[in-house]
Amino acid sequence: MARLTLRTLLGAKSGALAPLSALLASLEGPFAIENADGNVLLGTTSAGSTRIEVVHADSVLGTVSGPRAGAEAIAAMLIHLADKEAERRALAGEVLHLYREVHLIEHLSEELTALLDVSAVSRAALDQIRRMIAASSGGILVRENAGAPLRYVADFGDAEALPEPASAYAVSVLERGVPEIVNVAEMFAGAGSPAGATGTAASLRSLIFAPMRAKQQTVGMIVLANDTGDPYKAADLQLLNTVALQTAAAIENAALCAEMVNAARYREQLTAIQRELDTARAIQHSLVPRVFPPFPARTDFDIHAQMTSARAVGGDFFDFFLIDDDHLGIVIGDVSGKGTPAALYMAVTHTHVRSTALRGLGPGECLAEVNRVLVADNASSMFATCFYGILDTRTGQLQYSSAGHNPPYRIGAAGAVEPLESAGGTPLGMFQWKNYESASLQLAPGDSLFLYTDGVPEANNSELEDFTNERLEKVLGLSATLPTREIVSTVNSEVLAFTAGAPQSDDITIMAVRRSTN
Amino acid sequence: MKILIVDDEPHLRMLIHQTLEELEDEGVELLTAGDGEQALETIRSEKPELVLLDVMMPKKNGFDVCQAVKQDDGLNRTCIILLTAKGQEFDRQRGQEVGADLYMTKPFDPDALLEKARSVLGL
Repeated sequence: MARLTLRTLLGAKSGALAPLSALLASLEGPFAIENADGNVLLGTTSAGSTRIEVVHADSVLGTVSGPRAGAEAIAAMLIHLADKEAERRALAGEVLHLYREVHLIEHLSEELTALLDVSAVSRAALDQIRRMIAASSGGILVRENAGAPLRYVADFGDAEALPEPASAYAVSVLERGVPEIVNVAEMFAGAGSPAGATGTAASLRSLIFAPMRAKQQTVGMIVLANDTGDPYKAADLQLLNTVALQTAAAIENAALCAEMVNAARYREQLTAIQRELDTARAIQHSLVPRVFPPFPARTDFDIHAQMTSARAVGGDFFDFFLIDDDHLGIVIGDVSGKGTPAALYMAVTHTHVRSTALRGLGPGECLAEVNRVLVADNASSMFATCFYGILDTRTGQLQYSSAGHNPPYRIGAAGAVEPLESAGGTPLGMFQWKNYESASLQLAPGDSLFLYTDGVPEANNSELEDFTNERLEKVLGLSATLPTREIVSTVNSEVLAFTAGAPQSDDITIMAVRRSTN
Repeated sequence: MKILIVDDEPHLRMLIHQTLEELEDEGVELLTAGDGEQALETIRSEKPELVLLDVMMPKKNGFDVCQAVKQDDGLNRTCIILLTAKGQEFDRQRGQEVGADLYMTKPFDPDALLEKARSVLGL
């Protein structure tokens, strides 16, 4: 701001020159008005006249010379004019300051609206506020949610001078949600003062906190620190509070935007995973027989199966294949666990069982060989139960061995349902078990073999009751004369009716084989 | 060096004056005018290097003042900054047509205005 001088007061803009000239002319003089440098601004000097200083705000602006009474009156008038000019300037300065505030707030609103990142919003707010409020350092503290701690997302100046996020001041402002000015007298022991003497106020650090409130919640705060010794005033607090409210809304928007972006990204990832799982499911289902009847030319036996995974991919598997014209291999298994790991282990186990069985090994030998390979390679600590049977389609003799799998049922043509005797060993991949026993069974014409995984008896209804083997046996007893396709569909329907829409917790696999009567 | 501040609203004249007042310490004289005709008279008599010219004014609007100055061979090197309310894109185009050197919107940024004035005057 231009320095206040007598030249300014008497300048063309002030309008004081004409009345003052008239005043000087009307008094008995001569009078002269000189500025601080001794230059005559108005009137004429005369030797021996009295000189009266024109003093404003402890500063000598100049002198008035002439007869004492008149010189004193003119000096008093100049002092009055200087006071009024200083007042006008202060007022104009205040109006300009307010105008700057209006501009700042408007500019900030526009700027913040365009920013969608919490850090960028915070930096923009600090940049703007520094233009209006003196600060040696400052920062913006934000908390992610109601329970989270505060953390600085942007700052300037000496970070050491800013209060810790967990400081009593910050916590108090956060909890109360009201702005605060804190003047801290920094104390230190003056040079040469005895140790332990009371400290001397070295400097005054003024802190100002403005809470950022959005939707009735305090989401953070703006902190400014000034160590120049000038304390903050109520006007600073008011302005910072206004900026804090705008910043809070912008931060809220930025957080909301980030949330939406993350949600969209998450949805995309989920869709990609879902697509992969659909592909995996298709691949998994392609590993098990899908075409029924599988051997249309064979009338000496009838076979049907169905697999329903609890998730996109599961750990159950089944298979059947002709080892030669007279021997039908039948496999069913269940891998520990669920989901993708189980599905991968299922694929490995299934492939080993099939390839080993087709080498012509007996059921026990086949399971022992598969177990040997799986235990040797088992890095995942997974295992699989498995039943492998070989049906002599000419004689009806079934040789079988089970690696911990649920015993299949024989369904007699007259409706008798009985589980197969236990024979075999531990689940595949679990232990170095070498001696998987085999057993044999005679299927008479019209007898059926029913194989299943534990998803059938353990299917839960909404009261968490199991379907149970008892219910299964009852259904099987009533299905003895049905074609295998219908046995499978009947059991499946009964399980569905029992669970009545309760979520399927485990994979369900059902397989039925019948020795024909002809 | 002289700057003429032209606005029919006294508080805006005072604001701009206050914004530029520190230039007085560097020998710049600040002049004011409250309407277009007074502005044109002052420009012809004082020949300021820079004119901060409001657009919407009684008697003669800022566009007409600007056009008159820019068409006068003796005055057309005067730098004219038009000041008008925000968002009037049409005004901006009209300002270019009448030869304004720069266009600033109100509410103006005091710091930007001071910087521009310094730049025009080579301070």
